[in-house]
Amino acid sequence: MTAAAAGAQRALCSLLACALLLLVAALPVAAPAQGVEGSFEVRNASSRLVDSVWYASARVEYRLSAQAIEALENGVPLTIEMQFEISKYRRFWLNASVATLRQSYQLSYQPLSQAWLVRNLNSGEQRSFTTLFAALSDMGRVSDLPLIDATLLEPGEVYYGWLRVVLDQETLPGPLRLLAFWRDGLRLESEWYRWTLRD
Amino acid sequence: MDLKRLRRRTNTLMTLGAVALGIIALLLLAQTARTPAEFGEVQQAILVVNALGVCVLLVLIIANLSRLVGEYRRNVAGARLKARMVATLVGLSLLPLVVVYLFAVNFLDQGVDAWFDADMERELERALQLSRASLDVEMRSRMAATRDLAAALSAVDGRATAGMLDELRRRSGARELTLYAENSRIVASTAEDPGRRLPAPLGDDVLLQVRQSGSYLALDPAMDGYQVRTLLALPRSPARPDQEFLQVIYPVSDRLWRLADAVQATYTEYTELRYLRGPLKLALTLTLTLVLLLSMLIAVFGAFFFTRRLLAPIDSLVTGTRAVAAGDFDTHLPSAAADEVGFLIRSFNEMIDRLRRAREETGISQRQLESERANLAAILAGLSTGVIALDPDERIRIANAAAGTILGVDLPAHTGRQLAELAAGEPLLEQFREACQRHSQAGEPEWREQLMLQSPGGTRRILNCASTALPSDLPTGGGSVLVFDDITSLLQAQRDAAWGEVARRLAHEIKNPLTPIRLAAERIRRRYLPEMAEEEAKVLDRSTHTIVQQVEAMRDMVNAFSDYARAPEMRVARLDLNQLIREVAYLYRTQDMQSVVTLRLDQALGEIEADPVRVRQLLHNLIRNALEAQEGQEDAAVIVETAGLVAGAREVAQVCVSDNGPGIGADALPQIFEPYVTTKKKGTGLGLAIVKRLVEEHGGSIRAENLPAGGARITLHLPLRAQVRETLADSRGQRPEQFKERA
Repeated sequence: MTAAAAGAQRALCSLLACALLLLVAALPVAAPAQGVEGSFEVRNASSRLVDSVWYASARVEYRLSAQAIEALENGVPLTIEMQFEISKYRRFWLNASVATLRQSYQLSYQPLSQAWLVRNLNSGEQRSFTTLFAALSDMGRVSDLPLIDATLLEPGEVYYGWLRVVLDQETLPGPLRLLAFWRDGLRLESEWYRWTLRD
Repeated sequence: MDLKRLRRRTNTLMTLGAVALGIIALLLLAQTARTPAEFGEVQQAILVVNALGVCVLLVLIIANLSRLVGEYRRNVAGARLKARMVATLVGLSLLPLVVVYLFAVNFLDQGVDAWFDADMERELERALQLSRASLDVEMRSRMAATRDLAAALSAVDGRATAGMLDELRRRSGARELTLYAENSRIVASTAEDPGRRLPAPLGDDVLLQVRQSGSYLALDPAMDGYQVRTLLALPRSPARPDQEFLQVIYPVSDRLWRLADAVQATYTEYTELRYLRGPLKLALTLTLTLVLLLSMLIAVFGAFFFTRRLLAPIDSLVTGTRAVAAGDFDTHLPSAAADEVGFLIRSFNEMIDRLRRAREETGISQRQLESERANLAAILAGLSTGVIALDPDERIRIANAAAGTILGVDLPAHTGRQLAELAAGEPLLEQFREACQRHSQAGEPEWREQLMLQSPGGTRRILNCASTALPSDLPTGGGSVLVFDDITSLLQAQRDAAWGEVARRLAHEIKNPLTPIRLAAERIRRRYLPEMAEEEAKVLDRSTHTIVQQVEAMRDMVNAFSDYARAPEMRVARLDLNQLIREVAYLYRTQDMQSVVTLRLDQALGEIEADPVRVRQLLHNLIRNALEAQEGQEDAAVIVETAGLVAGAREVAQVCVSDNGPGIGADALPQIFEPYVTTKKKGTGLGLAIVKRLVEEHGGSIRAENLPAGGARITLHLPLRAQVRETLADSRGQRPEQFKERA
């Protein structure tokens, strides 16, 4: 196939894609969080009260899609965000959000050291791992993350902790972000995981 | 009108908006092309702007297209031309757009690929490997140093470990020394920077490797460049029986890490770019496609827009022409630009102006003509003279009401018909037509004659008639105009006047010598009768007696003449006609006469305004006349009838006096009301003439007829109101003068 023919085919595909894009843009984006290959899942999360501060611990399983791994191996850093939320339970009304906390990690591959680097974007702390698996499992273990000061919570009320992890598409390079519009491999996020804050 | 303007304004706004969106999209694309790295920033904006633009344009185009299709189907003026022009413009603009698009996509495809070079990739790979190799040398030497440190440390007792570590760190130039227990717990640690955080526990992968191979060597990124991380399992010794791990972290020389980092950065950037090449091409193609779509839609819409703009004057020309063809000359096309089309429109407007003026002038002259006609018709209708205009084939072109009245046929209602077919069964018209024909057959173009027509009632009508031939070069092709006047009454009046004069003179001339004759006869008688012999006296007595008697008779006759000629002044009063008739009839009933007067009076008849003396006289005359006509007849009878009726739009009292006599002779009937016309043995012949004069003085009419069963009947009409009578009498009085004037 000549380059011109390939270009023409691509143009045709683009035209179709354009039409599709217009259609998709018109619809509310409610695609399922689980991709075809990759998936994020909050296995468990809990919290404990130490010196009137709630600390959260969580185990998250990151399974990256082939596309995400390909992007990583080609030098594209991925940003993964852990989204915590504390909400107050209300009997006859929607729960009220009390506080939110976002913890971002940047995962990248270092060709020089042939290592996987995890950088906590909140603290600037970074660690390198020889394998992607090690990097992911390290990133998936959160222990004793200060969540909220207990004085901010009203005693006697029931509070829920919520957690989900999301692959941040905003930090992807432009062309990939466009691709992420209709490719599930780059649209990775977990379901919300809920637990009750109790001693 | 306002709705139209609003729509036009909305259209213009939408058009401007769509074009602005298109331009913004193109600018954004230009921005993207300049800095592909910023593509992500503007990409959303491009998408949104394009999508908006596409939506707006689609709406506009669909609206325009449906309008055009509707116009085409309805066969609206200019729709075909518009459709053809739109198709041409769309074709003309789309073809280059598509060509440029395909070229651009191809160029993009190849251009982006051309950024990447296999050699460059290889060189970068090599540079990276070289960096790794140099770092590897450094790392290995550091590992060797760590082994020395481990050996030194393994000989030291656990209690002296902390002090030993510090010293070892200083000696080796390491950044950090940490001793881990087997479970990765930190036993002791020392570092250049006393304020640093405690080292992190060993990772699983690290532990696994160090347990398997006894050592771990890695290059870790640090806050300031890179550091070499070495980890060794300490050889077990009596002093340190437990399994421990020593981690030593060395800084990498500044120059080395900077170079290596630069190489890595370039390599990573290149790899990322190469990886993003596909999505970038796709994204650019997508954007280009969107822009193409937008441009195409703008082109299509532009085709509609400019076609409409260009064809608007032609549209209005077509509409104007149709309006003019339908007779609407008030059309005025809006003036266009100063080009050829504008010239055309101005010329069209001038043409319409001229046409309108011409039509207005035609209308004015037509109205003038119509008013002339109406005028003529009014004049003709008002004329008492009959006027008939005939076509060459004797068809009635114009006839006025007076003509109809005179000839006894409603001629104006039969305009367009031939005289011959109307004349059938109408004796007056028949005689009239014959007279006319006689002249036309004699080839007289103009003639004047007094026609005497015999009406079915026996009366004569005398018409003064003149005919003029119309010029044959008229659009109607000739024909003739007949003007005629009923001069029967005029002649009658003239005759009456003549008779009056005769009577007056006779009375004057005859009455004067009568008295001396009578006196002379009586004197002769007185003087000579006593002296004469009986025989002679007898002769004289008889002769003088005859003279006196005849003179008396002559006096009576002269008095009657005198009565006829002298008309005393009218004294009009309200009177009960029925009562008056009863009184007069009573007089005849009480006399010992042979005949009986029968009254059949209409009790509903009210009072009339008339001169009682005259009415009484005319009643006397009529009854006496009827009685005298039956003198010596055994079955003599006189019937007097009255009735109130409307004749000729006026209320009249009708009085009929019928007798049972021999009737009126056919010869005498037309002139029965003229003096000295009588069928009786006895009588002056003035009775009915006086009656007629009295009736006419009241503005009434009189006619005589023979009854089918025998006998005669005199019918007279007296107007109920004096006012009507006067106007009638006036008009009657004027007629001779009118006639004279015309003549």
